[in-house]
Amino acid sequence: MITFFALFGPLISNDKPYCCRLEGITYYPLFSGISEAELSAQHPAFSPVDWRTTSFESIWRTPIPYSHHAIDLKSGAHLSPTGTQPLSLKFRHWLGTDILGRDVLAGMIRGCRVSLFIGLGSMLIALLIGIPLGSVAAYYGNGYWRISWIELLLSGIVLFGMVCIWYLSYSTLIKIIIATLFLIVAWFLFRLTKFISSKKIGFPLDTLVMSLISIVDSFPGLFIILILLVIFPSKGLMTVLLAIALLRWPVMARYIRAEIFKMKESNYIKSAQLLNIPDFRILSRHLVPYAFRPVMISFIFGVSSAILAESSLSFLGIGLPPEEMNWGRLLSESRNHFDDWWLVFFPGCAIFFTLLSLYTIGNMVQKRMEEGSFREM
Amino acid sequence: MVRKGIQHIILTTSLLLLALSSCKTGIETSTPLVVNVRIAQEPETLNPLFSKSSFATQIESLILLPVAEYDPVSLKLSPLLITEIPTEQKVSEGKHSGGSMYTLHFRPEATWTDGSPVTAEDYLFTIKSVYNPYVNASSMRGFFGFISEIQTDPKDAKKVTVFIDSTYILPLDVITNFQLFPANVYDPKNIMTGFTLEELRDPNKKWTAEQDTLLKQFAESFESPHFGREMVMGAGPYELDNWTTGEFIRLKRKSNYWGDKISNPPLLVQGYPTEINYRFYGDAATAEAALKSGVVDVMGDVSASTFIKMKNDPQWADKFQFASPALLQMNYLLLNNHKPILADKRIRQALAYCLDYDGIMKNVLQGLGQRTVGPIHPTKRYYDKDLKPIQQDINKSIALIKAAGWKDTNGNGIPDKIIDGKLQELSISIKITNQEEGKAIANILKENAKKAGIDINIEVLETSQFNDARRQNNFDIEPMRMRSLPTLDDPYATWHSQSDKPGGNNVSGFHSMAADSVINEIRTDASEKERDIDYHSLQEILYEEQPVIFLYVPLERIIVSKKFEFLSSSRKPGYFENLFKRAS
Amino acid sequence: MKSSLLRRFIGSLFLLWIISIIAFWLSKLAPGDEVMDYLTIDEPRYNINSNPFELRNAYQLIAHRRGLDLPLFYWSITPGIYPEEVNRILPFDDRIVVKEWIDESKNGEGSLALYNLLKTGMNTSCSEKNHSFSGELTCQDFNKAMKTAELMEMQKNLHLLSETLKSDPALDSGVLIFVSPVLASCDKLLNEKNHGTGLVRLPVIKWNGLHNQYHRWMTGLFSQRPLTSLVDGLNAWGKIFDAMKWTLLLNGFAFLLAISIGVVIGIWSGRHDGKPLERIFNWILFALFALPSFWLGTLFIYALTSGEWLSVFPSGGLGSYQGAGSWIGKWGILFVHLFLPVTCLALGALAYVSRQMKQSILHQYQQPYVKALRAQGISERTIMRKHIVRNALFPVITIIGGSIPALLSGSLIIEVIYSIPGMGRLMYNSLLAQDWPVVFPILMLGAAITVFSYLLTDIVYKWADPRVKTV
Repeated sequence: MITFFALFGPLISNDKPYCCRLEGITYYPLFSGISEAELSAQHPAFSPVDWRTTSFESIWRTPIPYSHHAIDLKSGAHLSPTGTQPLSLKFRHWLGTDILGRDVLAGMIRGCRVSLFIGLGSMLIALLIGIPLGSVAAYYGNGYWRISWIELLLSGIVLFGMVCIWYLSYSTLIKIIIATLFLIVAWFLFRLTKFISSKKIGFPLDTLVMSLISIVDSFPGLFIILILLVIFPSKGLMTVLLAIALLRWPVMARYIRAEIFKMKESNYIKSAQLLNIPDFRILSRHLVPYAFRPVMISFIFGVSSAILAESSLSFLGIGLPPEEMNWGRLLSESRNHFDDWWLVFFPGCAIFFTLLSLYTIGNMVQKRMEEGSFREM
Repeated sequence: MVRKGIQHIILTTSLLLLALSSCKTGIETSTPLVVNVRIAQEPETLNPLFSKSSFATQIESLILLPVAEYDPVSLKLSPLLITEIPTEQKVSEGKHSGGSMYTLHFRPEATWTDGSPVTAEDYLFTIKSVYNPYVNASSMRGFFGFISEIQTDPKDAKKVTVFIDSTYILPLDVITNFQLFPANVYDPKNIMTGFTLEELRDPNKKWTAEQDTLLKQFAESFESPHFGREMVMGAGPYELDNWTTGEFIRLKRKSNYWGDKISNPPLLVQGYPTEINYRFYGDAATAEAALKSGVVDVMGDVSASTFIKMKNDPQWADKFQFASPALLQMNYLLLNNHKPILADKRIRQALAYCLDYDGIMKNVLQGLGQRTVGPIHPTKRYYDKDLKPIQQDINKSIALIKAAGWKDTNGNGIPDKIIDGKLQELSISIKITNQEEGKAIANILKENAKKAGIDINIEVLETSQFNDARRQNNFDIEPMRMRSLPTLDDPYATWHSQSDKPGGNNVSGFHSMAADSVINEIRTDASEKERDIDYHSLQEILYEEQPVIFLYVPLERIIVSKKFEFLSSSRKPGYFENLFKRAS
Repeated sequence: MKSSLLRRFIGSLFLLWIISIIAFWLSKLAPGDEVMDYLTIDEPRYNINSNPFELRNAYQLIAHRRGLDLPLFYWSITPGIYPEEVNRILPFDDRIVVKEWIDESKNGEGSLALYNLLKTGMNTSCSEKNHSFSGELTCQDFNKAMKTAELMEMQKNLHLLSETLKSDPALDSGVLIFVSPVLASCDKLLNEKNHGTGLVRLPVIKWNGLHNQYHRWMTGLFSQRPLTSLVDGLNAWGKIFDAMKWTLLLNGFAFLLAISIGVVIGIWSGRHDGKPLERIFNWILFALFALPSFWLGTLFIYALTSGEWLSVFPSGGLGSYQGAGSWIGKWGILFVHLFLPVTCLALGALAYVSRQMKQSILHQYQQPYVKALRAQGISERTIMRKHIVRNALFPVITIIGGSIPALLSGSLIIEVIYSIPGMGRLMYNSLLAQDWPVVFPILMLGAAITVFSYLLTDIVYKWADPRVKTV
């Protein structure tokens, strides 16, 4: 249900009607994306556009005739859902409004969208980073790839060359062309080194990945989020999402690494390796799908903790843009108006039930899996 | 078993504690007067030259008295350390010919904490310390730059003569409105006496190695936390007793204080409470709870909704007094007139007309504010009452935008126009900090402007980035506050085109020949009447041009426990904790 | 065994070094000019336009004190077209402007020369004792020119300046000396640009030696030289240890509370899994977990301290524990003040710990040894107490180990709400104030604890279970 609200939120709550009829012309304001000012410039009858007071010949409104960001200072500020409201029943704020007259119900619906987007989005990104790194690290370990000193030296030179090219004072296009040429030359050189025999050492892939995880882990989460929010010029959903994802991927990577470590020693995989099935295929077909199931649980709990984290960021005022309305924002707004129970109760319930459902799903998945593993045995 | 034991311990301690805390409250009623003040942020230092927050100034002025300060009630400069406010004497000969001369006489009773008298040497020391090249006080240097020379009298240690060559509208402020340091405390080695003010102010002066180390040595010790947090002393009624980082600052009333011995002491020289505790509560909700539970007796800058709510609640109205004096401050939206979109007067006007002022006054301020039309505070005599504050009129905004040639040609819902050969969308960003009021106004502006077709982006920035953006002229709109002095306004710094330069105060980039000439006249007008007329015409020009959008004069919201009698004032912070008396 | 341990230890040190470099690099990415920030006052007493010369001098002084005039790292790579000195130009705003000149004109030396000319001109004209009209004008216009990124615009302004100066009857000839070379240099830059004589150069790599910013603060961490906060001049380590004291107290208590109660609840609900009472209990715990801590904290403050409902506990802060005579009184006051924040923190963790414990108990129930014990006729109570609980505690111990770093890093939100001067708040405020001398030690301390606690866990595991491979 939350997903439904999240997807169709703008269609349910919006101050623009689906369609309206005025002076014989029919408009579809919600779908056409035309702005209020433009409408009133074209058709003086609209001026200034106020969907509520203009008398239309016929109108079909959204079920909740408010946008989550719509401010109504004149008649709608700070209304209690149970008290009398100076509005007709059609325009009643069913869950009340905040101090600026923003409709709580519209904010709640928007909140579904934002919370799910942040929760799922950040964890998906965390998975996307965590799974490849974790699985590759576990599968290849430290000594699987062997690399000669010459190759190491050469790659160092290539890296250095790329840096040099980056600092050349040409336009970006020319830089890219030079870089491509340089890389082609480097590739040929790599082919050449195959003919020179030298001592090989194991490439410490696992150690590298684990170090990366330790590095991310050893910065306080707050530091990472603050630095990211400060560095990124635009502060929006995406920045918050990326920040949370950056904090979460090590957990994912660690889980998957531990799982694959266990499975890689199994005879099943060993025989697959003997059959010369390509590594990538083994990883993607046989290891990751099975290792993914335990990770699934931490994914689901991760989603809920991401939603909580986002609301805490809203509290500190360092998260989403101020016109954004969501559960955490409503809750943190309620801190200064504690008498207004409707600012507390509804978003609190929303968070609670979302987390509860996620938790239940998590438990179900876990049970299903345990049963499944019994059956396999 | 162990768990049970722990439970026992917890229980007994909590019981013990309840007993203890009740004891404490029992004593408090019979002990001398203690005032607990909430401040939102811990000051960095209590050295007035380096402290930046207004909370620090609030505390400092109780410890280190200014030479003269604006009286909380009369709002006139009242002599604190001097016997009277000096009068201007024209100098007709000598090197200061054409300038003016002021003679200050320090009060014969005035002494520092150790009992030594406040003298002209201390005055000179304070200014010299500002000009020590290694002391970081560039803003104060600009302030004292108007002083041409200071002469002390070898016969009368309490007399000092100050010369000002240039004409400046507020000479008395420069001469007297700053806090005085006791030279023997802050410079125990008497380093600064070895230098003359003239030498220190000469930027081309080459110091010898020895002098250089001395200057550095002084600067280092002067800026050290020792003089900022431990050894804070002055001629004020209070001394620093305890500063626990992150928790509180406690001031104690001096026992042998000179202010007690003079007849008719000015308000700011007096001090009734024996102890003032400044408690740091950053979070507003916590501070509110602290106020309600009696941990804190005074709270300023209460949010408007809390203020109204508590005032209307009989439970709290019985326990607290509520004061809402009008502050000498104006809130406005700073517009960047350098930006091509906002350089057009019509767009600025359109923005001004689209704002829902009534809604802001009613909801954001809860009615605790007053509209204003220009940079002149409404309480001033020369405030132009004929100008009516702008009211919301979306139709007018739309018309103005249309008249300015903006039209949505590419069908994205935002009007656009070709400026300097490039297609510009009518899209403006507003930069705000993380303050509730700013956020609310930005949100309202965004919603209102959308109706008129203007697209507003809200960017929340850290305070430092917010200030950086303004400094680098990299902003469209920023909500700002403008402080107003109780004396005459000098519009030169904020509105004259000459002040629109890097580091200048005309940040809006407003240029107008008419305004320039009016400002120049204000600065040189001889009679009050002429000046009033010029002030009026300046307000009219600014009203017409809307270089910035003036919003309102907020009323301060102060809640004080009924245990005290207090005085509210339109000077920040609105209350004066040294004047608190026990309620009769 | 020993050699591998040593290798791990050295590896950890290396990791810490990398972390320090990353932290340093991130600090340099933070926007905003910290020196300018320090110099500007939020609410100036008087609207006085400061003298640009004074401002620059002050800037140089502060920047030098903070070591910002040093090169960043042991070596530097700069595009060949930028002369090396460009990266030393302060203020940062100027540096950006000069770089833009270079990008526009493709002439590094010329732009730098122009900058230096402008600077000397400005210094002399602004510092003149008797401000003549022409001196004042030159001072302001030069200052403006140094902030103008477009050369064309600057040329226009400078021409205007020179015209005005020439028309000034009381012309101070000393001023004009600066204007004409600047104009010439500017013209030259623009001409060369039009002729397209931009040079192609390889990037320059320069070894800066030990005299660099990174080295400065790395040695600052270890040397005797006190690391002082940029905000209040206090010793950074002193600030950190003061804050850590409170954080340890707060988090330590909360932690003990959460673990002890959580384990008990976990055992209980493990035993009564699925019963209605257990379900209700689970729900309540879950609700506590689902409510954001900032909200729970405010609820407590509002309901239990303010007197709106009850006024049992003091609202925030640490109280006047210093004034209490005996240590019992002192700890008593602290206890009362810390009770609510500790409860808040503990409640959040409680759900997690008890859930883990419950899962672990249920898992143990399914183990074959339980069946064996039951078959032996040992009472359920004894099985529970002697065997299941003991075995089920292991995962909880892992949680304890894993949360030691979090114990030290503090809990910002609770500290903000209850105004407790702990690590979270110190870190947050220092970060916002860009007080790097305080932020770095905190970061490095946290990193060291994290890295070494991983090392320690590995060692302990290895010692406990020889089968675990070293990774």
